[in-house]
Amino acid sequence: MNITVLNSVSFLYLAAFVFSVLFSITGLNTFSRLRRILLCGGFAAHSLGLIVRWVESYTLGFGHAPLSNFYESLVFFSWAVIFFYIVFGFFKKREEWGTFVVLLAFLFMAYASFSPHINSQIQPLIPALKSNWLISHVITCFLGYAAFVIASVLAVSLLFSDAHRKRNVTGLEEKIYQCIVIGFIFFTIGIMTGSVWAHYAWGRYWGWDPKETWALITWLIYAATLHTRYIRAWGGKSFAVMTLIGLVSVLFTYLGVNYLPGLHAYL
Amino acid sequence: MKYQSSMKLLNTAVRLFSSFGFATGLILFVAVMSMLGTILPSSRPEQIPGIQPQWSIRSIISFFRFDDMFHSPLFLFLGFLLFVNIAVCTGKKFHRLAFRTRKTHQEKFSDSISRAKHVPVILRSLIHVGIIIIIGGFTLGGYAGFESYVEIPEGTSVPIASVVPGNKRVDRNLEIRCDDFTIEYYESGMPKEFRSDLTFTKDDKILHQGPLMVNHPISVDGIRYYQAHYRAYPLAVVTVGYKGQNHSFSAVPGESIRLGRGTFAYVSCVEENFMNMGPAVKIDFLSPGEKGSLWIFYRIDEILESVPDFFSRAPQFKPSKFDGYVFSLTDLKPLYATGLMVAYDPGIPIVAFGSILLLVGLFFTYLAPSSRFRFRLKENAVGEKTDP
Repeated sequence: MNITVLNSVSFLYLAAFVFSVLFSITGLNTFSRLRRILLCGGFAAHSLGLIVRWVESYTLGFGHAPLSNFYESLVFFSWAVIFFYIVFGFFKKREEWGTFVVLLAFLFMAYASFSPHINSQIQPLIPALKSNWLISHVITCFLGYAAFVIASVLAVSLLFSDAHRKRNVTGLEEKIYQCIVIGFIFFTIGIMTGSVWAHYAWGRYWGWDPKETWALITWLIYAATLHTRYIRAWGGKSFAVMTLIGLVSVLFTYLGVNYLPGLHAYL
Repeated sequence: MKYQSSMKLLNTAVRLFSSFGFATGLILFVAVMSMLGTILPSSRPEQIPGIQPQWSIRSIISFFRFDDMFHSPLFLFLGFLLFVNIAVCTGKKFHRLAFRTRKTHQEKFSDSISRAKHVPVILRSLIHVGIIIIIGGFTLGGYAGFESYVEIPEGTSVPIASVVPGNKRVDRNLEIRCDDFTIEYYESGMPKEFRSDLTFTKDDKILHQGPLMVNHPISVDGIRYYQAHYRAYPLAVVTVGYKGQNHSFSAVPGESIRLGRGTFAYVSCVEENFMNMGPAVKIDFLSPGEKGSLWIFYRIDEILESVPDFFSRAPQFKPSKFDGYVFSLTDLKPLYATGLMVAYDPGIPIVAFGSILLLVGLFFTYLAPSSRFRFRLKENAVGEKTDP
């Protein structure tokens, strides 16, 4: 049942994206209302799907949080992206960047739900993953990733606005900064909880594993990005570019390291 | 003059190390080197004797130790620079705060800016202080700590000192014995849970006895033990007949059986299904006058029933191949060896403390309300003193 619910979320997000585009083009309030209803409905269904999956894993006899494999991580990542969109921009009447956020969430869910290479069945945990640290580590890391994704969408919007001199970019820059700060805090906690877990599971809190190293690289890039706020010459455009470089690092940390040998490869 | 130029040099160094541009550039450089560390091949190229190595990309990588990037001199130097950068920034911040506090107490004019509280500045500096402490703890662990793997077959014991030879921290008389190894599987065949029942003894006294499981390490005598992995291998029970007398020996692959008179039988290989004829063991035989190999089958009786002339067709499988000795495989039992990680890291409490400071600093920098500034503006003639 959880797979059915989660598959339907992809279509709800797709519909929300379509109405988002229509609203951007026409400006009709009907499309805006439909967009909001579909997005709220999709987010509610998404949350329900995660809870149902969690409960169903207990029914199968090996209960665990839905965060243990690639499918579950993609689904949660998509949920977190929509969550932060709701926090940062959903209640503004007119903001075009939300269209891209919904598109991203749809693409993540569609890839997770319909890719033949991804196993959506609930799997039992290997001994190394049987730990309470799984929940705190994965949740905080993915909340961090999601906040960085929102910041990157805003950064693209800033570059676009700046290029076309459309509107005052200071407000956008401030929003990007807030997103990066939130993401940075969550990601720092994620790295720390991961280190604690590694200490208990593998006997060392840091081993320069590719996943650990790339998480550090992402953390360093965003730390540098936060520092650029204090450099007068680095205005909005440079800040936005640094944010996008950070996104590339986030994507490699999440997806790319699975192709490098290490303990964290779950593809 | 010399003092002035030294002070000038020191001020320049402090300005450089505390500049945001330098900090940002250094952080990004460390990030780039870390990227290379994950991408560059980590194995060193083999040197072929007698052939001069040519300068290739691989040899250049090896020369600068980029094949072990995170222990290379350049990366360690960058880490040191980052440590100095953060330390100088933090020191400058505290120095400025101390100076401002002194000045605020000395001056009583209203054109001075007074802060409601200085505490938030200190709390915001905890990010940098935390990072400095983390780097310090990490370095201490790297130099004074150790980690090593050990495999202990069920029913055997191993002295810890042999796992970490030459380490003064490890007590020479401490031994670990694997009393039992248990493994459970899911229906799919994937391991569900595995655990080792261990006994730690020192001078024949039991220090600790109990199970060790993944994610549940135990600490004995300040050293931590982790359930890392396991290895399954078969135990062969070989019966050797000589001059009418039979003797049984148990051996694992790699273990030798002493047969007396300078004669040895060495279990070199165990196959679960050899040539579709069931379990078999390869014996390497060595005596003063003879040496060779022989495969002995567990189900030899069944094989002879179906192929009565098996030994004439394949004399290399004849159990009495070697002069006077008759080999037979009586039993083949699965045996497990537990794989443990043995580690000691005195830097862990320091790193943990630094991490807490880092988190508190992040909270006060980005989430707590900002400090309030109070200042009063009053129009006066130039040079006239005013009351605060």
